[in-house]
Amino acid sequence: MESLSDTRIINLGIRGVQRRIKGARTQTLITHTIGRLLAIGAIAWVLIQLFTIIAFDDPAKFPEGYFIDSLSFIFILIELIAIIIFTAPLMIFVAFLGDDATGILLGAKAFLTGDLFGSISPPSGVNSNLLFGTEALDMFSSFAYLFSPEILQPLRIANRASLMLFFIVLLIISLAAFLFRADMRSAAAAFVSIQVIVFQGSVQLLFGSSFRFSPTKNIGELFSNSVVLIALASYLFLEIALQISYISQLLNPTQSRQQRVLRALNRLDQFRLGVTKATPVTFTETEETKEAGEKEEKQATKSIGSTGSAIARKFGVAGMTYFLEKASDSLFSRPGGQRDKLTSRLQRYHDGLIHSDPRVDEKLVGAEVSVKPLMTIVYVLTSVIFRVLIMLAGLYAILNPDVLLFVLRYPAPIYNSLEMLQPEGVVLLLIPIVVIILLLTSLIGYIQERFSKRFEESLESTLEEEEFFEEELPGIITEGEIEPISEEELFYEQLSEEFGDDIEE
Amino acid sequence: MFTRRGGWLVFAGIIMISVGFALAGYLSINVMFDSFGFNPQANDTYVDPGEAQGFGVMDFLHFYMDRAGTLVWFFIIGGVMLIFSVLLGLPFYRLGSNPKSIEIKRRVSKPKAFAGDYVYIEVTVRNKSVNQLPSIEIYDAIPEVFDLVLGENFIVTQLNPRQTISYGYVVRIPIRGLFEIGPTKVIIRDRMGFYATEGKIKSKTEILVYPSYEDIKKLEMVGKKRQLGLLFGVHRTKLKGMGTEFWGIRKYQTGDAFKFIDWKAFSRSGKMMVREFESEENIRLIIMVDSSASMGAGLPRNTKLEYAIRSAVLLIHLAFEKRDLVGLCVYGDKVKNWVDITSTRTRLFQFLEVLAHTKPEGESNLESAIEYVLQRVKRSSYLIILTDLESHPEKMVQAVRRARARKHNITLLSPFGPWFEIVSQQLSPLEQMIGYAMVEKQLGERQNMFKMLRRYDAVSISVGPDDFLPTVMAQFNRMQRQG
Repeated sequence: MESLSDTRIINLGIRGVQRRIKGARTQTLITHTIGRLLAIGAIAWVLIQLFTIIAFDDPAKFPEGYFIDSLSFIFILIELIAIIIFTAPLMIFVAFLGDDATGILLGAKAFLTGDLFGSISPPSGVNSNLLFGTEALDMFSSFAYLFSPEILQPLRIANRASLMLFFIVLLIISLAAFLFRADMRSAAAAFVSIQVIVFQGSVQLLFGSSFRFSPTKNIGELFSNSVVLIALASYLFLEIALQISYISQLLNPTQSRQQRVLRALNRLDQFRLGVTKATPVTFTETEETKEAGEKEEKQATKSIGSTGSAIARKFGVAGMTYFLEKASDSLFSRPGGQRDKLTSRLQRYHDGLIHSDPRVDEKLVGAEVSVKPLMTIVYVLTSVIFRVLIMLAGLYAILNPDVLLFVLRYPAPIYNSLEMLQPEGVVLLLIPIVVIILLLTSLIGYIQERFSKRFEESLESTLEEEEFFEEELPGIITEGEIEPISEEELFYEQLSEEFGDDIEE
Repeated sequence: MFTRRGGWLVFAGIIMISVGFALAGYLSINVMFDSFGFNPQANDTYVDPGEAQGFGVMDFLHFYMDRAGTLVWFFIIGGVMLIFSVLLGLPFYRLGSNPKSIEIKRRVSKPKAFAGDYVYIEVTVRNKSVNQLPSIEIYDAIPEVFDLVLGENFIVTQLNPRQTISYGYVVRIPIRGLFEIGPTKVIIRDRMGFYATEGKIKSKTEILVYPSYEDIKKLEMVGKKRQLGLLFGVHRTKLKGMGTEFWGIRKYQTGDAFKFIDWKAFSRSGKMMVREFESEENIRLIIMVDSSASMGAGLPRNTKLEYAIRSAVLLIHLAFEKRDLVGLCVYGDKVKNWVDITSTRTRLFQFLEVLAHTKPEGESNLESAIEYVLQRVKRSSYLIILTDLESHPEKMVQAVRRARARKHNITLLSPFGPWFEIVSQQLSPLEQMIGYAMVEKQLGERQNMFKMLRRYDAVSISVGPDDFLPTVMAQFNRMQRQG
């Protein structure tokens, strides 16, 4: 018989876990929010940098109504091609019908330009009479008119500006996607978009005159240069994106695990309290149905995984969580699925576990793996600042090679060469720096290997004592005060091993 | 050491630097253009509309020229930033993430269990070092046949300096055998996901799983319902000839001991009559389980061997119930395990342990197994052979003949392969036809074999998964009555 005190212990166990998880959930939310705020900051900086260098206010680069002009140019091209396609077959009749045929052709042309395309007004500077012409039989004069330098040059400028706008729209879409999903794919898309915008703006002369760079020794000048700033902004965005993806990589599996296991525990709890009646099983479970059920379950979990990401791409996080919840709920009701795994027998076993170790629920749920938002954000910020500072120092050293060249003992002709200030000089320095870093890393690895062995040998006795102390912690077996619940407990034996020596790299 | 993400970023950095250099090289082509007097100024916004402009390849190339040289620097700076962002953290990562600084302990709630039992496994991870491990993944491998019923066997977490965390999960072990939990795989990552170090903790925890006790439990439940059933209660063999209890009178035959002659009956009938007595003795049962590779065919939870072992457990239990003597021989190409004849109930676990360790491997050699048993069992007993008969028929008949010669009673319970293997798989009509043909052929061979065995007074029965255990019980019953 279960005494009242036992019930209380078990209830407290589950409630404690629930409370802890609830706390963890709030913390997770806070962490996510702070992460997003950081990301918004980085994004804002990138956009400010971009909008300061793009000369939107220069009408020679971004003429008025350029976007509409570009669009109508594309439409007019389509329209001209349509006219050729539709009127060319009618040309045959011209030979037989003479003037009537010309009338038909003109009618068809009027239908296409007026009714079908709804008389689109051509881009500014294009004379629509000249463009469409009055001569029904001359199909190509329109092209000749359109592709003349007088017409094309202003359109080119408009198209250039429109293309830039298109890339900016792409950038904004990928940034928004990143803010919603916090995944690396959108971040990479945004990063590439920034590079393309800079490339496009630079070669098409859409940037202001401040977008110039030459290596300089003045730190203030170097890091206030718009080229360096835009590169830095895009890099910083990438860095923060990586950090945020780390946070979600860490928190999401933990959270979903906690939810899943807690649901199972709640169900077991219902068994214990006798809330769940023994639901009559209508089907007779043969081996085959069992197998089929298992197979189905496996497929279901597989499809949950795959559809999860596909849906996520379509509907975003909210949609995905909804579908996942749905799917995992249906798992519980499928024969041979999760529901059959959770039996009253398991519940009794679980109760036994709680008696021997009250913290068993926490361990099953993985509640110990809670991530503290404040600490995480502090760690993330410190790491970002530290990494960016190191990176900037490296960049400065590479752009001003004097010190490094001296340290690396390059020969005088190279040391004194003006070529070192050229882009090629960067590679001459970059390669040795990379090699040094790799060597340093392997040196650290080697030293660690040697020292940790020695360290272990010297501290073996101490460690053993410590371990012994840990073994004595209240656990499943060493819980002396509580009576064993079943015969199974007779078998209980603590099997724990020290694995440290066997780790492979 | 580098993950895909780190590799891609370095690659992107290299690409950016390359683009920068390409643009720089391209810029110098401009000089060549000028020397040819070709300078169309395509990018210039202020262009004389009357000036002729072509649409050739050179115009196109010129269209994408970065004449100020700013882009060259932009891409080089961007590329260097990317490469540095990946590489500069590497030494720090190496300093902080020594896999040896992680200590993992696995605790299994019990080293021995019955099939169908739950086992709680707890993994404790401790960061011995003073560095934070920002992302660590731990996977504890469990055998495929285990059912994970509660919790999960992996975890993704961060480990602060000197922190210890534990997680646990409950598995259900559906079949008997010797299983290993482990190895444990550990993946340490840095915060950015650029580098990863994988470690494997090879040590495994062994769990010995005894054959399921479920059949016996069911049997006991049935037994409690029918207290006076045929199968239950102490049921002793009656051995005629010795003992004290009178059994009957029969005609004298040459060679009968004089002391048994019933003189009263002789005087009454004038014929020599002999009084017969009986004694009670337990039957002696020797279970021989074939554990050759062919016995392991089929789905892992429903192999012939599994059924054979379940029946062996049932027989052992029945024998102990009735205080009969029972022995066990597990054989393949040679005898793998032998438990001597006993009636001590406490030795049940010895039997279970032997059965738990049984693995289907090697060929079947009944002859040597019988030889081994005959050396150890001198008195006549019941030999129950659980084999699928998939070995040399002549040798098998030979073995049975030898056992019969020593006055052993042989019962051969043979799980018929196709009934265990084919049913569980989905086959096309053609395959089904072939399957039926094979079944027919094999059944024919089986009948011939049984015919030969019948010459040596051996009872042989083909069994399928449905009638395996009932047949075993029926045969045990028969032996009890035969004595």
